[in-house]
Amino acid sequence: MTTNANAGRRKAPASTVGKQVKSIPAPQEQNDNGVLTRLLGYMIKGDSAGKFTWAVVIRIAGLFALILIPYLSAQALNVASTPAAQDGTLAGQLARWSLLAIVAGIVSLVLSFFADRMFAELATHALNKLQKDLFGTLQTLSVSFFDRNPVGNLISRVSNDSEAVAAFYESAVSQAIRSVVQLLLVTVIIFWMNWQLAIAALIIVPVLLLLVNIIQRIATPAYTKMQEELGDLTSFQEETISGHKTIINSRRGEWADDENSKLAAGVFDVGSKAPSLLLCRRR
Amino acid sequence: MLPNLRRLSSIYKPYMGRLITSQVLLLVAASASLFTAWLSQVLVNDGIAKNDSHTVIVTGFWMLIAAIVAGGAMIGAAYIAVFFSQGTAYIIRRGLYEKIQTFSFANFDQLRTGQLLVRLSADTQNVARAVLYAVFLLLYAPFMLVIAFVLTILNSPGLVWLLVVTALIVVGLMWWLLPRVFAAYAARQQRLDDLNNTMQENLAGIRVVKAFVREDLEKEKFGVRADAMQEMAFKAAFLVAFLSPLLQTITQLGRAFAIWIGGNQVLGGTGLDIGQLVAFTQYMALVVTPLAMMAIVVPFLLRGEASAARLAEVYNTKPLVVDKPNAQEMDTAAIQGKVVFENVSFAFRRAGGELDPPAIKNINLTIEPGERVGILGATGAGKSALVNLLPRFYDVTEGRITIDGIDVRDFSQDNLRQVVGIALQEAVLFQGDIRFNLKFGDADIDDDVMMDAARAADAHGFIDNLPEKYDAAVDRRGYNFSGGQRQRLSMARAFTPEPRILILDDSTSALDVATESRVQSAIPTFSNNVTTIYVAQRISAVIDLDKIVLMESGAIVDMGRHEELLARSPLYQGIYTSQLGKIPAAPENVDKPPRAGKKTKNGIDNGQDTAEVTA
Repeated sequence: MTTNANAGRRKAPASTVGKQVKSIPAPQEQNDNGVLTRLLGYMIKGDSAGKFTWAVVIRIAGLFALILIPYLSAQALNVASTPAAQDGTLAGQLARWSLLAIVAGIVSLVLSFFADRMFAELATHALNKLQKDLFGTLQTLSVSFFDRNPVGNLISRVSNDSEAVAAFYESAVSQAIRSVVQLLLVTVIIFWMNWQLAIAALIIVPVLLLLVNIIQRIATPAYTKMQEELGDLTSFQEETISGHKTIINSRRGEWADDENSKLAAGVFDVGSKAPSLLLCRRR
Repeated sequence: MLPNLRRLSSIYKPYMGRLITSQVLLLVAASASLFTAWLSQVLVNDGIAKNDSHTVIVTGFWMLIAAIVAGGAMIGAAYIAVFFSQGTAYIIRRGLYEKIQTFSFANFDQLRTGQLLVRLSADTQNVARAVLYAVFLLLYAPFMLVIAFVLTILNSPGLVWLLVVTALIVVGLMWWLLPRVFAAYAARQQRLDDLNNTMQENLAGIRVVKAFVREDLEKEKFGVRADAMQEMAFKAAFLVAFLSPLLQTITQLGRAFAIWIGGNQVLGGTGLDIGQLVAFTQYMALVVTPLAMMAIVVPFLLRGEASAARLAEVYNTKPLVVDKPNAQEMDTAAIQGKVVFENVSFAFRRAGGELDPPAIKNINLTIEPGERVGILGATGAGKSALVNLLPRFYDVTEGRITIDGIDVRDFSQDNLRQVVGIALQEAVLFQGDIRFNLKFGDADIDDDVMMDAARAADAHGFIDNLPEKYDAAVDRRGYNFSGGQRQRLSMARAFTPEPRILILDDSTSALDVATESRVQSAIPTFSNNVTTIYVAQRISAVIDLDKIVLMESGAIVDMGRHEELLARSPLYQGIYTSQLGKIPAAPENVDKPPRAGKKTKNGIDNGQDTAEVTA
């Protein structure tokens, strides 16, 4: 995995390689919030609005049931820790609380089944709409757009970035709703149980948010750079694989390999720095 | 288990030190986390319960240290995991691309550009992500799981069975569910492949789409593919999304059962005390963490495995045209350029390996050194397929092709393509500059030769008018030049290495007739005695040549000079009439065909003055 991204480039085309792709603004240069809002629109607006509302309601109900389990289990533990161990009514109370916890678990699972199913439907439907819109928009663009933007770069965007968007729809949205609702419900419950302990527990949250913000400020430009490098690489691969007949005929496979290696090394160099920061954040 | 991902392990051998370091760091992190959990028990039992502030402070300090150690170890492990992930992607991008460079034309018929690009991009990313999580959690999750079990056995042996049952249910469910997730992801990736392929083909041919106003039909086609992908994507997304709450709920249910059963034991005075029961539920929670991690990681691993299988498909593809072990290296300067097709038949091969109906049938054709031969026929007649056999872009199915009596399969491909130059139907230019593109076939060639080649291709004029002349930039695919300019540059590129045999595969189709005529006149002056094969649909491109081969449905239907064919071939007459107007009166002298440059533009353009052309 030793790379040499800056090793001597070939003579003739060195001056112009990669110039074209730089002219396209990377996604991170755009307003992130605006992009997210637009992406979300595909999932929560129009014909999806009703289903989305139901999915959120079912998700909240399911999480409520889930959060009830530790509470009900704690009640059962309280019964079990009661000193009058020989009292037959305690076994009944224990069974009642335990069964309630189990029922809450089953209810939570059933509701989660429906909520996850609905979110998966919403996510894949949104991605489908986005793909069709994107393709439809590409069909309306002038030929000069395709002159300015290499096909490889567009393919890179469509294949790589649409996977990221798919992950956003299929995982991030549902997970974010789940996390936010869970956090709110848990916060309410812990404040209800003991507000001093709740404040002590939540005091770490601003520190965490600050750390996330710092890491994001470092990682985002690195990611932008990586996407640019990846765009260069994909453009080159698209150009040379599409033009394979000329490369085969001109016996320039070695040149293509060398160029590809340099561009891949560039992605490796940048890519080794960016994701580790985000991975640390995730941990 | 995960055989395709495991194949990658061989690339990590030089980096075993880093891998071991990362796993040691993860074990340190896991141990620190378990130590923190143990310290919390000390804090509660010996500090808070006994109101011992010294124990509280000391234990709190050690908890802080343990947390810092765990965090630091995780950061180090993350850095190494990313190195392996990105390194894997780098090696795949290099290795796969190098493999693709070994492919022959026929391989590209079976694995299309869009499919290859998806493998190089999305599939590579999926594998890299799988490697990331595999390295990051390789030992962490199992270590946590094992330690939690051990602690449970030591603390609450009477309840271990409940932990085992819970774990078995989880494992059983995973066993049942994961193959389905894998299948769903494999199907999803296949549909994504189709979708991206449709997109790639559309974008590559967007000018044609627009020229023929096919946007709506293209959108409809894309929509069908997108819908097909949605169906599979839904299944995969749902199964993955449900996996995590399923495991979480099972674990919570296990805890509830534990409290119920254990609570009854506590109430019944069977020896289990409430402290042990609480500890058991805590250890059960420790089991949750690795299981939840596995639930998150396993889908990534399965997705990576599906992608690795698709990468393996490319790696395992064998080039369909290979050199013989004893392939000859001929002195290219000694080649005369006599080409003979002997009973040549050819059929394209499908992805499964079976042959299509023959595209070329029993071709017998002799082309003398220095002869200029035109191959004329409608689309699908087999013209390009025939000439592609000469430089071995494909190998003949039957018969043989010789150059100066030597079977082309006895040449090395590299050597053969020094002898045979071809200007392809599609004029592909690469990003760089004009000089780079013209010297693409031979970077060491003199500038004078390059410029002569450009003159022969009628390209020098417009190049000379550019401010940077031969150093002018060429955008990707040469889209900053017109179609005609691209074709002329493409021809100049084919001329520059001065091959002994030159094929122009419909490469003048974007030129006007006058330019085409100039190019035909200039080629012999640039390179004497070059055997030249012109493939064309336009009769104007072959009218002056020494011999015209008329093809239809993969076979030669007639052969001769223009005047001969015009006199006797109904097919040739039909082509002539459709392209140049009515057939002129019988030519006076069929033995003396006109040479290039003698025809008049008027005669060819409107066909009204063809007597002058043939006189």
